[in-house]
Formats: sequence, structure tokens, C-alpha cells
Amino acid sequence: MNMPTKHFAIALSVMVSAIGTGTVVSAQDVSDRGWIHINGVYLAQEYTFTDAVTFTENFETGTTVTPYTVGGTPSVDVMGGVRVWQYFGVGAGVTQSSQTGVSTTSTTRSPHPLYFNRHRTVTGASPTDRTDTQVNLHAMVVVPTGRRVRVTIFGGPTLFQVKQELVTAVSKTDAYPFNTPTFQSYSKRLESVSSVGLNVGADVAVYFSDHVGVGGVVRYSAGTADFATIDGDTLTTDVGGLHVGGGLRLKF
Amino acid sequence: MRRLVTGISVVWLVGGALTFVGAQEFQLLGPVAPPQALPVESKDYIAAVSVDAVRAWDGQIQSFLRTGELQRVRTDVNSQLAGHSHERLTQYHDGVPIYGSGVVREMVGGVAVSLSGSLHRAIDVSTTPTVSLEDATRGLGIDANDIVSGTVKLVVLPNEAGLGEEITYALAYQFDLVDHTVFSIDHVFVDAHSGQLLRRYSALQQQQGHTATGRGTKGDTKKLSVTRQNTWNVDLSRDSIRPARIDVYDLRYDLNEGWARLRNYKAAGETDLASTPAGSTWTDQAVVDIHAYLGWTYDYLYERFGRRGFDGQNSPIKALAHWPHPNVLTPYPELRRYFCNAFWLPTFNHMFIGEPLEGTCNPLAGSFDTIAHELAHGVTSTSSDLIYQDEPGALNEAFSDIIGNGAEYFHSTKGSGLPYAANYQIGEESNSNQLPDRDMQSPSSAYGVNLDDGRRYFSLPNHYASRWLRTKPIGEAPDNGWVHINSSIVNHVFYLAIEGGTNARSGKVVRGVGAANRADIENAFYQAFTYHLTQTSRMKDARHWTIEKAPNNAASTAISEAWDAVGLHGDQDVAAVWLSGTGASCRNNGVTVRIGFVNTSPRAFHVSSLYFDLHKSLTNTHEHENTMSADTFGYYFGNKVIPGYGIVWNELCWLGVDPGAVFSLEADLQGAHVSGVQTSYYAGRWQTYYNN
Repeated sequence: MNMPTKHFAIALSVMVSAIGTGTVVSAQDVSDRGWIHINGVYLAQEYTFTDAVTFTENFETGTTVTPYTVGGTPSVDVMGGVRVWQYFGVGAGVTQSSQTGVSTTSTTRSPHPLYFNRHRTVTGASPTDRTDTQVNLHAMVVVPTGRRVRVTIFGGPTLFQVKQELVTAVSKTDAYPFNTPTFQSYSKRLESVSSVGLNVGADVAVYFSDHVGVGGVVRYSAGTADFATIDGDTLTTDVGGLHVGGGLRLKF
Repeated sequence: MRRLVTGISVVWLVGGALTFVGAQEFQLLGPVAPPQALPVESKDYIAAVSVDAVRAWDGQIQSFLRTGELQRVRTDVNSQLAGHSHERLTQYHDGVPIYGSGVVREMVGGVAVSLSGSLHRAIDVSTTPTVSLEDATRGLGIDANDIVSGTVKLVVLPNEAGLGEEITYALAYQFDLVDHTVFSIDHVFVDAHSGQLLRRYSALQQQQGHTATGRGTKGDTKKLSVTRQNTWNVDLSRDSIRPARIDVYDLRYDLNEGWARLRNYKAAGETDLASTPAGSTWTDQAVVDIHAYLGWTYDYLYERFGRRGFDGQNSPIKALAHWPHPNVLTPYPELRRYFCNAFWLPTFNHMFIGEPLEGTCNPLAGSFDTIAHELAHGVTSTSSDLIYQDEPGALNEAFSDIIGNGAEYFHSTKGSGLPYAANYQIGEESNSNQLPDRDMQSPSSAYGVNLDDGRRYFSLPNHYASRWLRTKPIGEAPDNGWVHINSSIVNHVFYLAIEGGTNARSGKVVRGVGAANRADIENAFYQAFTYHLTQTSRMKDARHWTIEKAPNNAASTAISEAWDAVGLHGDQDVAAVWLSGTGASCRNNGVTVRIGFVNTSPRAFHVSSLYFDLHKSLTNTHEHENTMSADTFGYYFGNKVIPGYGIVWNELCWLGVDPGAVFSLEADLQGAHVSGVQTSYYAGRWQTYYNN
């Protein structure tokens, strides 16, 4: 069982347990027809991946290695749903985040122009940007905990779209005796990929009136994205993650 | 000077006709007439580093500069010591340069901080020629067309016949002469007063040839810096990436064209560069090795010493390859010297790399230390310009070996490129049996070389006492006075200073700095040889300056111990002087030896023993050895105390020496200075061919 599937199974069992608990503890009438949640969320976890671009120079193979770190970024999250039957409903949501400085430096091992097996190391700043968009589809369970409080547990598939800038090359200035070239600039390209994953989460809302309230949300989504590298290889990375946030709650 | 004369007189009074006393092998022949020339050299050797010494000498230098007796010929900026520069000053006599003379003055902020070199005094020769160059050369049968244009100079030529003998001077035409009969270029000196030939020796600073069996190249792949020639759509063997241009010319085995270019009658041009179709892999293995190894040597000189090319000014480096063709050996057997050989030609600042010869040797191009060695000759010719004969020539050769070895280790340490392991052997890669021409670690086990006179020997000297002495005039002496032989003494010093060990002859132990610190030793030798030695420097000068330029105490100690181990002591106050007139047979079937011992210090020296060693001069095989006591020494030489600034001497007959023997005689003196300090000196060596 891979990690997203495992996480989703755990979340699903939590959700089923919650439904049972709610049914037993409080059987109040839930007459809401639907909900809209507008959140600011934060990707609370970081994950990294590294891209190594190989190239041929001076009759030898060189490499440019760039580490990327995703996470710690704010996102806008909107989700909505309608009650279908008793405590159960369906919904959908969109989460979008933009991150700058996903990478900070690249390290290049550059072949020597005059000697075999005498690579030089060049390191320089190579910042890249990234945009993550998640479209989450939900099955929802509303746990009745009181007239003003709604606890919602949800889960379902997620459509990920990731736009990631990847470093493709580094240019340097080189001068005799060619032992310590100087980083000059770098080039990058935008790679856009889509994939499907899963999400689960929970939302707690407190309403001040019949229609308006505030609440908090925790969502974990999991998936992978396969970037095509400039070498023709595939770079597989995790997408999604644990989002935590809160915002406006509307019900009608 | 006056005290020295007194010393001789004292000895002379006590001399007498004695036979078979003490050592039982000597016979006193006296009384004999005192030598006409006193054993004092008529020039001053300068090695000043203390404030007082520099100040004293610099006053004279300044005075000579003002009068024109010294003239500044070039100034080198020290690439390793910021703010240091080195002025090379040549001595002139009545406006004519004195060949081989000169002083190097190290300057910091306009102030002299060290001085080295030598200055002649009491020169007595007219600088107005009385014989024209044309008449002189005609009288010698020299075709004026064979004189390399632009090389004729008028010089004062010192004639230093030997240690302790008076220097005589001649006004001479100096020029380079092409010899068609042996396909060679010589430095020639002709007396501008008498028209007599004074000196002639090969201008080719070369690796000594060696005998080996043929072998293919190593098959390793190297990177080359080449130049694209778009018009011809070829890549040329011209390095245009490094700051200095490096050109490898392909003489294409054309006998006449190659020879013309070798002599610079026809300057090699772009069309002579080795080439290959643009973008294709180079398949000319000799050109690949020469081209790459020249670049590697350039890199070593730059990265280790900050030197920009062989002359420090990034002048183009030129190498000639592929000449002659083995098939021409039959009609021109003299061309054999260009196989299995490489040399640097300072006249034109270019290098020649010979061809492999089937059944004889591998390509010299495949030997990195050989290529580096030759380029180092270019470093020497544009810095110290050590004259390529006798001891300066041995230093010249040694420095090339040291640079070759340093370059080999430098690139081996980098871990890339070198297709074989670095070692302390020179030229072994071009021998099919991989035995070296010279072995810095163990000189006496070196494979041996072919000498100009056709002989081969298998043991090179590892001690100053074992050095080979020239026995013929320089123009006739093999190997320009054994420059490839005696270089092994200096090479061994370099080895011992790095790796440590025991000198096989003296038994003295040297604490080397260790391989990890070899750069310290390389730097000391580089500084000494390029910035402080002069054209006529000797090994004692090299000893002084390599120790002086050591970058730290450990290196200084190691170098000092290494020189001591090979018999070159710093305080060599007492030396044997072999006076003229020796070598003849004596009436009791021996050989006459006219020998003196000079004390160059003010302190009296009390002799405790004298060790004599007669041995075959070239193979170092000991024939007769004996040690005489102080009393016996006093008996033979009249006094067992050598006075301060004094000399004791006499003429002896060494009995039992076979007529026709080729031998040399060494003398090691032990005793104590008046201070009581016990000293063991290698006093001197004398060598002759005894052919009566």
C-alpha cells in the first residue's frame, strides 16, 4: 500500500467512526441544505526533490544538481457542498498556492577544458517558482454537535495541477587555469503536469447566525506528479500535503 | 693574497726528495718549481643576503652601473613573492660583455635585499678586434653562410682552466654555427685578436639518447587545445586556450625542409602545424603527446610557481616533430642522433622531439618528464642561462630533471591524465625495458646513457666526490663536460630533501620534508635556479641559494642536510687544488700528482688524516685507497697544519698506476679548525686520462 492510499484509508476509517459516534451521541436534526467554506490555509509540511541535469561539455559528462523544497506556503481554499441525505452530502473545492524560491542554488560539476576527470564545481543562486492547484471532490458527513456547531468530515479524489519551474542549465565564466569557474546565470523552463490523488479532512464550524459563521479545516491530500526532465527522464515528486487553515462559513 | 704566498713558501722550504714513506704508495719528487700561477681565482663570487653584505656589495654594484661596467639586461618580477623583482646585470669590460658573467640583484621597494653571481677583476684584454670576423672564419675554414644570422656578438671570454688556476681572458667573436656534416648547431667562440678557435660546443640542450626496443604509444586519451582553421577546414595543433601559444610543427619526415626549419633557415609557419580534419579525433599519437604534455608543463609552471611560460612572458612555445625518417639512416647515419632524442634549442627557443627507432627506442613524446625537461631548458635559458657545460651545465640539466619530476608528480597528484605512475626516474617511459636515463632516488643504479664518444656507462654519481671531471678541452669533451652525468648529484639532493633517506656514499641521513610538502622543496629550487643563479654558477652556489630560498625551517634543514649528504658542505674552507703539469708518468712507473690544499678561511686547519681514493674515473671502480695520518701528511706536504689563508702542496708520484689507465683521484681531508671543531671535508677530485 503506497503512502497516499494508506493515508486515505486511515482517514476513511476515522470518518466512518465519527459518523457512528455522531449518530449515537447526538441525533439532532440537520436541516442545512448546503455549505460554502472560504479558507486561508497553510501547507504545514515540506517535501523535497532533487533534479540532476546531465550535459556534455568538453567531451565529458557534467551535471547540474538542483534541490527543490516545497511547503510552508499559504493558499486560498474554497469548498462547498450540498446535503444529500440525512448527515451525508457531496461537495467540491479548489485550493491554490503559489511559491517562490522553491529552489535556491544549483551546483554544477563542469568538465575541465584541458583534462579528463578534473571536474570543477560551480555553485550559484537559481530560484524557481511553483504553482499548485488542487480540485478536491468530497463525500461529506456532517456530525451534529449542537445547533451552532457543525463538524464535517470529508474525503474523495483530488485532481492536482502543478506548474513547476525547473533549472535546465547554468552558465559560467571560465578563465585560465580553469580551476575555479564563476557562476554567471542559469536558465529554467516551466513544466506543467496534472495527476489524480486523494484527500481527506475535517472541518469545524461555529455559526453566529443561521447562515454565517467561522471555522477551521484540516485536509490531507496526497498524490504524485511526473515531470519530464530536459534529459528525457521522468522526475516523480509528491504533491499535496497537510493543509491547515480557517475562514468564513456559510450555510443555507 | 700575501698570506697565501707565505704559506706556499713555507712548504717549499721543507720539501725534499723522499720515497716510499708512510702510505707506501707515494713518492715525493721535489724539489720542484712553485707554480707560476697562484691557485687563487681572479673573480669574486657573491652570495649576499645579510644586511651588511648586501649593503657593501650593492655600493659597488651601483658604482659599476654608473660607469657602465654593469648593465641591466632584464628584470623579472617574482611570481611568488609579492613586491620582489630580480635584476639581471651583465658585466662589461670596456663596453664589451663578459661571457657568463653577471649579478642578480633582488629588489624590494627599490632596495636591494640579496645579491648573487660573480664579478671578474683584473681583466687585461683589448676590446678592439685586430682580426675581422671574416678573416677569422676564413682562416678556420668556416663558411659564412653557415653562421646563423643575428647570433654574432663580440664578447670577453674568460678561460677558467680549473679550480685554483688563473683565469685568462680573450676577446672573442661568439656565434652559432650550423654543421652540415653532423647536422648540428654549435656555439662557437673565435679569438678576435689571433683568429684562433677558442671554444666550440653543441648549442643543443638535449636529452641524452638511450638504447631501447620499440614499443607502441600508451593509447591513453588526452584532451588537446587546438585551433580551428576554417579556410582549410582543419584543426591545428596550436593551443589558443592557454595564455601562451603552444605550436607543434610536423616536419613530415622531409629531410631538407625539416633541416631547414630546424635551423630556422625557414621559419615554420601555420602550414607546418600538425593538423587533422576539423572536429575529428587526433590520431597522430606523437603530436598528441607532445602537444598535451607541453600544455601540462605550462600549467605546472603557472600553478606551482606563477610562471607565465618558459620565459615568464608567455612567448610562444614551439615544438618540432616527425623528423627524420628511419629510412634515411643508411645514407645519413649521423642522423641517428635525432632518434631517441629531444633537445631545446635556445637560439630559436624551440624544442625538437625525435622519432622512435624500430628496435631502438619508443617515442620520446610519450615520456612526460622528458617533454617537461626540455621546456625547462627554456626556463633556464631565459633566467639563469646556466652555460651548458661542466658544472653550470650539470645544474642546467638538473633543473630540467627537477621540473620534469615536479610536473609529473603535480599531475599525478591531481589524479587525472598521466597514463603512468609518477616516480623519480627520468626518461624511463621511452625505454622498452622501462629503465631510466637517470634515477634521482638512486643515481648509481641508473640504466646509463650513450655518450658522445660512443661509450655507455651504468653508474651515475650520487656524491660530489664521485662527479665526473672533464678531461679534454670543452669542444672535444664528451657530453659538454658530463652535464647529463653530474646532474644526478643535484637531482639526488632534490630527492633526498623531499623523501629523505641515506646517501649511499657518505652514509649521511637526510630528514626529508615528506611527499606532502614537496612543493616547499620545488619552490626553493625554482626560486634559486630562476632568480639567483647566474650563467657560471656552480653547485656550491646552488647549495647556498636553495637553502636561502627555502620557505620554512623544515625545508631549509632538509635541503641543507641533502647537500651535506652528497658532499657539498656549506663551510668548505679547505679544498684540494690540482695544479697544472700533473698526469705525466714518473720515473718509477707511477703517475705524478701535483696537489695542494688551500685554506680559504682565516682559521688554521689541523689535519688529522687524509684519505686518498684512486679509482676508474667513469665507472667509479675503486683501485687504490689509502689513508695517511697527520704525521704522514706533514711528511709529504711539509706541514700538518694548513695556515689560515694558506696552502700546503707538493708533487707526488703515485706508484702502481698502470700506464694507459683512465682514473681519478679523490682526497677527503679530516681535521679540526683552530677552534677545535672537528671537520670532515671532501677536499677535491682530480681526474685524467693517463695514456703514456
